[in-house]
Amino acid sequence: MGPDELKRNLELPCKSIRLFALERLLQERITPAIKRVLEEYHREETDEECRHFVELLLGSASGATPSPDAATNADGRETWIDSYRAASPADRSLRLRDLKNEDMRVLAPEALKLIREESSPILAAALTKRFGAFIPAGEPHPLLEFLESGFISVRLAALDILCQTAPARLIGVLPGLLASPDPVVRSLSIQGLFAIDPEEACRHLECHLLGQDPQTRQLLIRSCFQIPFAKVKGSVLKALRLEIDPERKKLLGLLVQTNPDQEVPFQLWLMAEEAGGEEALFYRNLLVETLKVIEISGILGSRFGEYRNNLQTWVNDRLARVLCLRILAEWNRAGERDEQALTALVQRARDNRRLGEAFARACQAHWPQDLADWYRRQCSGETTLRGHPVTADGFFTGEPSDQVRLLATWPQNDSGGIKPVLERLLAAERPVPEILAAGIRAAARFRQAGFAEACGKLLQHSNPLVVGSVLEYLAVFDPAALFSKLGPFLRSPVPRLKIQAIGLLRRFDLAEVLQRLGSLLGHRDPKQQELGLQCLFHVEFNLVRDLLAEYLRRCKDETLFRTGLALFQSNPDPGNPAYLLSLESVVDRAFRKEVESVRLECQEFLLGAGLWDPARKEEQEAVVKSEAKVRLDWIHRPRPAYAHPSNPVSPSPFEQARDVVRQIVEMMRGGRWLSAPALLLVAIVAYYLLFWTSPSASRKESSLLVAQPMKGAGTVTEVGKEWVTVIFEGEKRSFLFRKTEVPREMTALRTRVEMVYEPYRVYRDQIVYCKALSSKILAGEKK
Amino acid sequence: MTNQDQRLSVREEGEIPVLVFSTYFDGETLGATTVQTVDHLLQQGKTRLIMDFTGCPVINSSALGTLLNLGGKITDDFQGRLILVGLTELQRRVLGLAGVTLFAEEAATVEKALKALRV
Repeated sequence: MGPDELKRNLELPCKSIRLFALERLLQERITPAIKRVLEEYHREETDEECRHFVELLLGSASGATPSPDAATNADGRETWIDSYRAASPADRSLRLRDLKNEDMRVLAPEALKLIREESSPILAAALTKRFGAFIPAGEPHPLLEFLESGFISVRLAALDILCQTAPARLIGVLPGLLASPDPVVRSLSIQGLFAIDPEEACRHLECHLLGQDPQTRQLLIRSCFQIPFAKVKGSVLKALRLEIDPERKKLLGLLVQTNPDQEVPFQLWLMAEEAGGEEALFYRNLLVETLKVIEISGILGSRFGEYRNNLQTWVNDRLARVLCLRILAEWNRAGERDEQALTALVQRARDNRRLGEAFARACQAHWPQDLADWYRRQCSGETTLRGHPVTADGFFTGEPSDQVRLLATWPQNDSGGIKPVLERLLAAERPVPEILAAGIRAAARFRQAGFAEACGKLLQHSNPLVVGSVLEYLAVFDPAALFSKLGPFLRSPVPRLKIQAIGLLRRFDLAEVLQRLGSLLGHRDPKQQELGLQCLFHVEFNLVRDLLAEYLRRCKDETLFRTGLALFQSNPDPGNPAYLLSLESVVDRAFRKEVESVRLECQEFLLGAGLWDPARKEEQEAVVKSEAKVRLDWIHRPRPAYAHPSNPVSPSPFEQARDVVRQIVEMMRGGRWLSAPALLLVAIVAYYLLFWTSPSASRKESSLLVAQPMKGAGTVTEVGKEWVTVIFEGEKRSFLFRKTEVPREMTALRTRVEMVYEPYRVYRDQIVYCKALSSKILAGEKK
Repeated sequence: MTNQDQRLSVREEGEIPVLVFSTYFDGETLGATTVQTVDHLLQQGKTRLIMDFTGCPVINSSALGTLLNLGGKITDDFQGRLILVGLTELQRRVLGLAGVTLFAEEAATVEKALKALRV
């Protein structure tokens, strides 16, 4: 561990992480730079256990050696134990370090007593670690006692050893450990669970990797470096997309980069496609690096060139299919079709010439005849429009329908020409809403700045087309202001605005979007479910595949089922066949054939795209079967006590009742209960779960806040590249301020400040993003 | 001495075995061979080992797990030493992250590693 990493770890508020970092140093050489960090840290640390560790580390750095009479090589049990007890703490540490394995085996039965009586936490932890693996395993395992030790370092050492050497002995205590508030305990327990139940461990891992605690995320990302990538790939890719901290994102990128996998470049391309700005660049760079790693690793042998070409074709096909489906969705929007948006999409398809054949193929596969005919007419009319350059004056002499059409097909090489048109439209007393909306959209498309303020006033407009175009414009030119105004649109009764708001929210907060999608799909109202399915098109497929599969499993409505299944069709991803195969046996009988046909189509695609090796088709089908079986087992078996409580779409009351009833029946089989009371209990539980709805189960509201200035005093706890974190007195949450909005003095750790601020967003319940209105440094209070 | 797996060969420099990885080190496929080879060497009392990654472009997560276990075994259980040679910057970073560098040292060349082990 380098001095910078050590310093970062020692600055964290979580004691177990600080201890973990210090403990790692016990096995490393204390360089002068590390020593300086430790000395500085020692001056500020107030926790007794941590101070003890540092003192010992600094003692060993100064070159302490055992006293001359110390017998480091034990002749017998009594000699070593007695000499250990008689030695000073520094000598004890050295005696322990120099003890040989064969001696440890002999001494192990006595070690439990030594651990119990050791008053120094560092030495008690070192004894646990050194002897732990040699202590004879009884029932219960003797080390379990130390999970309750008064020293955190001993608890962690015992847990670490048990996870490595006897994870099965942890089963009884795992539910508590996995729910521990301590991030180190949680991450160690997940590692232990991997040896017992990899499926459940993966679910815990994923929930924490996508969860709200940054420290747990950091620890688990590091753990992933030792777990076979295939087991964690899905979770890691999701985490890569959702992680907001640049350092952790890089770490995840490194993990992806170091595991050559044919599927990853495809997923990275999807991420780049969905993300914007620097984030998209990050994914594209990572894609290039992963391609290099795939090439040099030689996993594809001479097929690499073919693979790269297939990737390019896939990119074109996907672009074409997405565009084609968006046109179809707009076409099918009964009663509220936006002709201008439709024309603009068609224009985009025509401008993107490299899509050519791929687009034609996609249209043939997905479009109805009337849309195909309309498209042909649009294409034939385009030459006339392009032949006549338009000026602002000329524009306003045309018919309203022509004006909408002109704006939608405005030529790229005259992007500046849109500005005077929009200026006049905005200045007009009563512009035709359709024309105004078309003008604002064109300005957003051509990146014409300067209209944010005027557009902002139109957010209350009565026409949803105008409001939609304003949302689109503000997303480009004033995203921060837009974010605080999105809330009402996420709850809008107008489907177009709701979908658009979710699409925009995705650019800011994917975790929030996923939560909303889960709520929509879990809604009783089929219209809300349909809306949820439409929104799924706005999010990368691998992020919502679990959610969708879970939805389809329960879906009984034919139309909704087909809409959902179409998403699997549109995203022929290598992970799909296993999902689809498992769905085949759990969906409504009427849908099974359709699911099977989508699966076979997907497998054909994977073979064609080079994602499956034709020479290993049977082997790959066998893998699909085995993965599907794992999924099915997981669906059907009762949840173990250590299972993660969360579920992408909450289980239906029937399923909850079924699980409880099943468990009770199991208990009855064991003869532990009398049958009559048990049956009564079964009936009560079933009634409770089927017919009673908890008021607390209501859906969570938006995290967007109604801005209201607040005042508070607090301390700077983290300084990142872009953000400064402050914890205010009486608050447990972190408040983030843009570095550019606060005085330079506030960018030093532990600075005390008094601030007036305006919170505008809560992220994962723990982080509040704020605008700093004024800041005052409280002098002389920096610790 | 040459291992049966072409992707991993073992040569002896004096009494010190050098394990040479000449391809992508995928723990899923090459891990078992590596563990078997190292175990065999440790049983013969050869507890100072060099692993040469000069010809190995990538070390994946499973392989990191394998190296971590082997590193612990060599240094803790057999009081031996393990020196890694020919690492790229990327490999060095991930080995550090996985904690392998707690148990293994690094040298720029096999010659330097041999010199360090013979001291």
